[in-house]
Amino acid sequence: MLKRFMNLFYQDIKVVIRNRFLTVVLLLAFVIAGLINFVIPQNVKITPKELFFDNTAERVWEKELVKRGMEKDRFYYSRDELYKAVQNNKSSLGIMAEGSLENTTFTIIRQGTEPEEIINVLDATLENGIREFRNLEKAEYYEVEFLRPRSEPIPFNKNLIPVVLVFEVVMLGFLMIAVMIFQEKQEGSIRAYRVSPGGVLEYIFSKASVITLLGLIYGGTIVVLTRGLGIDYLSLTALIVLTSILITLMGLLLSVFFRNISEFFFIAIAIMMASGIPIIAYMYPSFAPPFMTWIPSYPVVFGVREILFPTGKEGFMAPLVWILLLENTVLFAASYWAVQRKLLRGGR
Amino acid sequence: MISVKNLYHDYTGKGLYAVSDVSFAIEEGEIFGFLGPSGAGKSTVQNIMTGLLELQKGDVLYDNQSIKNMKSGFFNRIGVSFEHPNLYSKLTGYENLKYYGGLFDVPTENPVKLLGMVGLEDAVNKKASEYSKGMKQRLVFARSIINNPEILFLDEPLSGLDPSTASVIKEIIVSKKKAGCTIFLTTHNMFVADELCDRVAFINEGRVAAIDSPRNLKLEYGQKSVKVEYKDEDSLAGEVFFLENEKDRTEFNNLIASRNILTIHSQEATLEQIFIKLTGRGLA
Repeated sequence: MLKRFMNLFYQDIKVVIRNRFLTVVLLLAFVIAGLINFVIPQNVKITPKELFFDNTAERVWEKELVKRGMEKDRFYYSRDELYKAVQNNKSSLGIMAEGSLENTTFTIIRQGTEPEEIINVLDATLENGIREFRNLEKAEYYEVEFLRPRSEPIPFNKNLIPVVLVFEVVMLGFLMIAVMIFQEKQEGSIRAYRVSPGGVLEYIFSKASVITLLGLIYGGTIVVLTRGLGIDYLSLTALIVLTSILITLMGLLLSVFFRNISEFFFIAIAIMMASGIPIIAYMYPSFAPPFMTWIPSYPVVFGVREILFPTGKEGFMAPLVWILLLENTVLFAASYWAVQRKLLRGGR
Repeated sequence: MISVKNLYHDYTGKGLYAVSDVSFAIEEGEIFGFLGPSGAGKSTVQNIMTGLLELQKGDVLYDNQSIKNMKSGFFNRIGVSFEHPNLYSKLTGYENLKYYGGLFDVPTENPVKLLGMVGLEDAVNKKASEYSKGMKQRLVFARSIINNPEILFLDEPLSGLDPSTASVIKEIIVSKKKAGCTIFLTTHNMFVADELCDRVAFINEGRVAAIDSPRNLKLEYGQKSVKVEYKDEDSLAGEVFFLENEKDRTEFNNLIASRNILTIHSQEATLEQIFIKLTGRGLA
């Protein structure tokens, strides 16, 4: 069986290379690594851009804010100019300061679509600024404690690595296995395999190994180029391997039921969209309804983040590996049945 | 020996049988032709015999062992050449044979030698997608004999081949038979069947209409005839006479006596004529 598996593996590797899958994977990995390293900024301001008109005597607020590093082009010199600037920039809001330093009144000019949270944060920031400006003691209403020693905040661009790693591995793996199966169906080469001593196990193992290898090449390239060599590659490899096998088995299980890739297209879109839902929870951690945590990619993306940006969280790998092993076992049994019944023996 | 017993197959599940009560036996080392028009059920029978289609009713026995009980090792003993070329188009001819050969547990032929045997020595490193239809057909045929099978299933092996290449493939088929290989040849080409087969079965609308050697079928169902070409004023004319028929015999004698005869050929019935006589339809 090992001899047949190796034989099939080499064959599938050649098919993958000739189909230019490897080129696509490498190209994509380099493009994404380039975007993360050089194009996507480390910090992204997600709140509206504040524009100012300081109408106080001697423009004390403007002077102070510029001294603290605020760009000069955010200041305007009349109410009309400020209104116009806010009107022209839909992701901005205006702040107008009037009166004296001791008795400043602020007017906020809103687009009207800003969430109340943004306005509340702005309100608190202004209040804090006024107290600082007037040399009043800063009121401390709270204390902060950390569960673990505080880790470095993850830059915005690097925070995207787990997302592109997990969801691209899932998407590429799912599409590539489907393309391979439909190519074999269309060419009829699967019929030739059916009248050879080749079995279901080596067929599945070969496909899963090839897709996993592509996943490792893709993931490895991105991580080396964006995070360097100083991370736990063993754990990362384990997660990529288990995730790639999982998605290959899912792709196999589903693709055998369809005649061609056009019929398969809609289910593929649905599966990929469902797998991508945990991105929402990753970007907005406070939103993680239970159904989302059941999607296999959910724990994986957070696991990958912990490996790439350790926070000192311990013992997360073992349960994650067990969950993936369990999911792989279930999907393996299902795809074995499907491949045997629908693809290799007495199928269409 | 291969025995096919009372085979039925229904694709629809509604009792509409594509193959109905088909029975025949193939002796070891025999070339057995399965002759019938498109849609007659030839490929269905072959697919059941090779395990590509599930056995529904009836049985196929190889040396008294049912195909139902065959393990994967059975496929080491057989070779299948498909009517429609089914190759890895991204792989070269050599790679198609090399990787297919790697699936067997028995010694396999050298792919380069096989490619040379079927006249593809110049296309060893060419991708299968760049092969012509005839080249693909030859590659599929070469693949079917890579494991030196004891039983060879050939589905229209000469389809799309030019006469000289077809002749090479026919020689290989005959040499395989001489080496003891049992061959099940599915075709609608009566000349191929006549030339190669020890026995043929006629299949029509899923049922076997007759089984015998081509010679016996001709003796049993055919009529001997004579074709005469003669000069009729300035043009060439020709007529066929069945000499077992008294009226034809008289006309033949009159023609010989009165005309300027150019050629006379005796001829026997073709398998196609016999097929038409038995089934009422042609093989095309």
